Amino acid sequence: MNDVRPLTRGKVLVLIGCAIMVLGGCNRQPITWETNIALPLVDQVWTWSEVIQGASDDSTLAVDVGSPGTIVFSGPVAEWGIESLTQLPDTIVSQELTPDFDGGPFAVPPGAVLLDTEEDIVFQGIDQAFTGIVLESGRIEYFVESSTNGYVELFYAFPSVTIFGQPVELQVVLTPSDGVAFETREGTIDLSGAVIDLTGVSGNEINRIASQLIIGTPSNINDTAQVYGSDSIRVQMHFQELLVREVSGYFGQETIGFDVEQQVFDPVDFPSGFVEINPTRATLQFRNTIAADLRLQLDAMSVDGLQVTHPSLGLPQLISRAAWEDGALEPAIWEMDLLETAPSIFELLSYLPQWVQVVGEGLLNPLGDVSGGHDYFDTRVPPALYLDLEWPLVGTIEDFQIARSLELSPTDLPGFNGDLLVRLTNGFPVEWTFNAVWRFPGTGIDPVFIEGLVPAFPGGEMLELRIPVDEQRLATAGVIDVVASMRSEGPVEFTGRERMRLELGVEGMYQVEVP
Amino acid sequence: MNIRILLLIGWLMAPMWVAAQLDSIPWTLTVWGQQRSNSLDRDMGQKLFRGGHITPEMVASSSAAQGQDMGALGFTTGVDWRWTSLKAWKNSNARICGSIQGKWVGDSRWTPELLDLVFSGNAGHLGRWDVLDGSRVRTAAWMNAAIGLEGQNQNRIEIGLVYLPAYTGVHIRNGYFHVDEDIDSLQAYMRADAEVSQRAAWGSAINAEWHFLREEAPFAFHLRIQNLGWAVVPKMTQWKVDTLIETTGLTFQGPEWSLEAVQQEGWGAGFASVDSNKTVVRMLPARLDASFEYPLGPRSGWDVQVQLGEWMPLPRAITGYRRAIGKQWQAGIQMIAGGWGRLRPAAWARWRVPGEHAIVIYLEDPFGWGTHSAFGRGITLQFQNM
Repeated sequence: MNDVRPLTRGKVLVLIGCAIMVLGGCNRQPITWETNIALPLVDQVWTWSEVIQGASDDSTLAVDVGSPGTIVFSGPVAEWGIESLTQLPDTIVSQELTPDFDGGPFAVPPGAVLLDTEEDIVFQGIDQAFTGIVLESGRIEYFVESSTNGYVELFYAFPSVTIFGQPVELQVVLTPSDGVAFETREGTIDLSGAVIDLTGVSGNEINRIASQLIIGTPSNINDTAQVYGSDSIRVQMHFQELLVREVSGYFGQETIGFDVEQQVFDPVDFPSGFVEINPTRATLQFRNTIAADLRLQLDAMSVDGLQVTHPSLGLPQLISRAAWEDGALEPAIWEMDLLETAPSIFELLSYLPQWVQVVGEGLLNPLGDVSGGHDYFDTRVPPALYLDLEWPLVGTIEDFQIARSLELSPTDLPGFNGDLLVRLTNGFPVEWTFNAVWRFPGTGIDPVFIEGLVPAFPGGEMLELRIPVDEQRLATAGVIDVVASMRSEGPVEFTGRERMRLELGVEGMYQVEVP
Repeated sequence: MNIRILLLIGWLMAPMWVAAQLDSIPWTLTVWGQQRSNSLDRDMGQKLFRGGHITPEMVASSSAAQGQDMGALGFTTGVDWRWTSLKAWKNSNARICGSIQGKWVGDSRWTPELLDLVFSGNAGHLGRWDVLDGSRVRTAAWMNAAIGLEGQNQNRIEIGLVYLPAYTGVHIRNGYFHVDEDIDSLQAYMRADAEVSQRAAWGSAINAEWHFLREEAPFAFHLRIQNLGWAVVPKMTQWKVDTLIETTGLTFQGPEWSLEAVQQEGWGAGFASVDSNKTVVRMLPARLDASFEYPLGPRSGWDVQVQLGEWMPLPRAITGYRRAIGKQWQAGIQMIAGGWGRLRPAAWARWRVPGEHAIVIYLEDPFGWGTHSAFGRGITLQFQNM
C-alpha cells in the first residue's frame, strides 16, 4: 500500500481559485438596448355598410353596386312581446296525510300503502285556455316532511310532463323521525325543455297537469313504522319561473298594447349632419306569426316626437292567423307604404333622428274561438315589424358626421420616442374632414389632436400625418375619439363601391429591457 | 460567502480527502471555462451574460463581424475529477477507474437578420425579408458520476449515472418577418418550439478512451468519447407555435384580429400549444475528441486534434507545436478553428514534479484576455496527481 499523502496548501488554494472562477459571473444585471421599430397597427376600411351601421343591428343591410348604387334593407325593426303567452304564473301544490285516529302507536308493516291518489294540479291565474306547452326553462322545488317513527316512501309522478320523452317523477324515502323534529327532504327538478300536457287526468281539461301521489312504507326496508294519530306527512311542490317556448290552446280575447320605439341613428355614432334620403321603395310590414287571428290598429307614428300621418293609421286591420304546418311557418302579413306618410318620413330621417315610434294595439281572436282551441304560438318567432327599403345613393350630403371611440390599453414601451403614422385614403367622391383626439382621462397628460382634410376621389385622395408619440402617452390608458364628416357640393351620385381607409402605423425608437 | 460556493468547495474537497486518506491513487482534476462567438465580441457577450446596456456601436460591430454567416455563441464550463485505482481487478490487467463530472453547456445561433431585427429593429431595413430559420438557444447542466475499467495503454471505459437538473431550449425552425417600405403591411411567420425542464432528470452516459501508443510507431493517436448518453426529463413544459400573420393592420373592433380583441385577456391562446406535463428523453451533448501526436524531435512534437459534438455548430480543429523546456516544464502553442468561433490562437504550459504531481494551464485566445474586442476566452486548469 502507498503512503497516504495529505493535500498540500498549494493544491487547496488552486482548487478554491478554480471554484471561484467557475462561479464568477453569477451576479447579473438587466440587459438593455435601443431598437428602432416600424409597424403597421390599424387598417380600418369603412364601406357604406359601416357608414350607416347603427341604423340597424341586424345584418339585413346590403349595398347593391350600380350607377347609382342602392342601399337595400329588409329585416325586422321591432318585435312584439306578449307576456301572457310567454310566462306561466308560479303555482304551489300541497298535500298532507294525517291518520284518522287518535292515540297509537299502530304498527305499519313494510310495503304498506297509506295514500294512492290521482288528481290534477291546476295553474291558477291564467286567462287563456292552454292545452299544451313546451317550456324554455323552469323548475319544481319540492319539500317533503314526516313526523312518523318509521321509514316513509313517497312517489310523486307527473305522467303528462315529459323531458326527452321520459315522464317527470319524484321518489323520496324519509328516514324515521325522532318524535321531536320532522324528518325533511327538499330539492329541485329542472323543467328546461319539458313538454307538458295541460289537459289533466281526464284529457279534456285546460291548464291542468295530471299527477299521481303514492305514500307508504318502503318494501325493501325491513322496518315496522309506529304511527300515532298526531303524525303527519306533508308534500309541497312549487312550480317556479316557467318560461314558455311553445304554447297551444285558446289564447282568449286579449288586447295587447303596441308601443315600439326604435333607435335609428345613435347620436354617439352620428352626431349631426344631413343625408338626403329618397327611397324608391319603403314598406313597413306587420308579420303575424301567431296561429290566432289578430286585429291590429296603429294609432300614431312619430320621428323624434314629430307626428307623421298615414291613411292606414287609426284604422283597424284584421290580420288572419299564421299557418303552422309541420313546424313550417307561413306568417300572415299586413303592410303599409311608408312613401305615403305626410310629412315624408324619409325627409325627417335625412336629418339623422334618433328615434322612430309606432303606437297602437292588437286584439287577439277578435272573432272568438274560431279554431276550436287550436291557437299556437312559438315564442322564438314573435310577431314583428319588418322594413323593406330600397334607397338609391343619390343626393346631397351636408356635414354628415360619423363618430367612433376606441379605448387603448396601456402599452409599456420604455423610452419610446417616435411618431404615430396616420394615413387616410378616400374613395368617396366627396370631401372628408377628419378630426381625432387622443385623450388620457384622469391624467394631466395633454391630449393629442389630429386633423386633416381628405380631398374627394378621384384626385389627391390621400392624407398622411405624423403625430409625435412618447413613452408616457403609450404607458397611459387612453381613448381615441374620431369624428369624420362628409360634405358634397350639391347632389352627388354614389356607386356603392366607395371606401374610406384609415391606416395607423408606428415608427420610433424604444429601449428594450430583459431582466 | 455564498452557500453555493461553500457547497462546491466541499464537493471538490471531499473526494480528494477520500482519495488522500484511503489510497494514494493517480487522479486528475480539471476545471475549465470558455466562451466563444464568431460575431459577438467579449464586450457584447459579457453584456448578454452579465447584463448592462448594449450600445448601437456594439451591435454594428457584431453585425459586421458576423457578415452573412450564421451567428454563434457558445460556452462550456465545468469540473472533471478522474481517478484510477492501483489495484488490479480480479487478477486481470484491468484496474477500476472512475470520474465525477459537472458540466454546463450553452449554445445559441442566429441569422444575421435576427441579430439586426432584435438589436437594431426593423425600421432601418423596411422592405427586407428577415429570415429567422434555424435560430436557437439551448442550455443544459448536468453531473455524471461514472465508474469503469482501465486497461493497457490507459484505455478505459466508464458507465455513469447522470443527474440533469436543468435543460432549456428555444428553436425557430422556420420564420420570417417583413414590413414593407410604406409601413402598411406586415408578414410574419413562425414555426418554433421551446422547452424547459420543470424537474430534474436522471439518465446514463458512457465515457470511453482509446489510445494508440506503440513503441515501434513514431506517433500516437487518441480517441475520447464523453457523455454519450441520455436523460429522462420527467416533467418538461413544451410550447409550440406555427403561425402566419399577414396584415395591413388591425381593425378597431372585431372578434379576432382587432385592436379590441388583441387587448383582451386570453387572446393568442389559439396560436400556440402548451404541454406542461410531458415526459421526454433528451440526448446529452456528447463530445468526441480525436487527436494525433507526431514527434518532430526528442523534445518537440506536432499535435492535431478534432473535437465534435457538444452542440458546437462546427467541429473544433486544433493544431499546434509543443516543446519540453528543462526537466519540469513543457509548453505549446496552437491554432484553433471552428467550434463557435473563428480562427484563434491558444497556448499552454505544464509544470511537473516527477513522480508526484503536475499542473497544466491552458489559455485559449491568450491575446484576447484583457481586451474587449476578442470574441471569447477560455482557460483550463488541470492538476494531475501521479
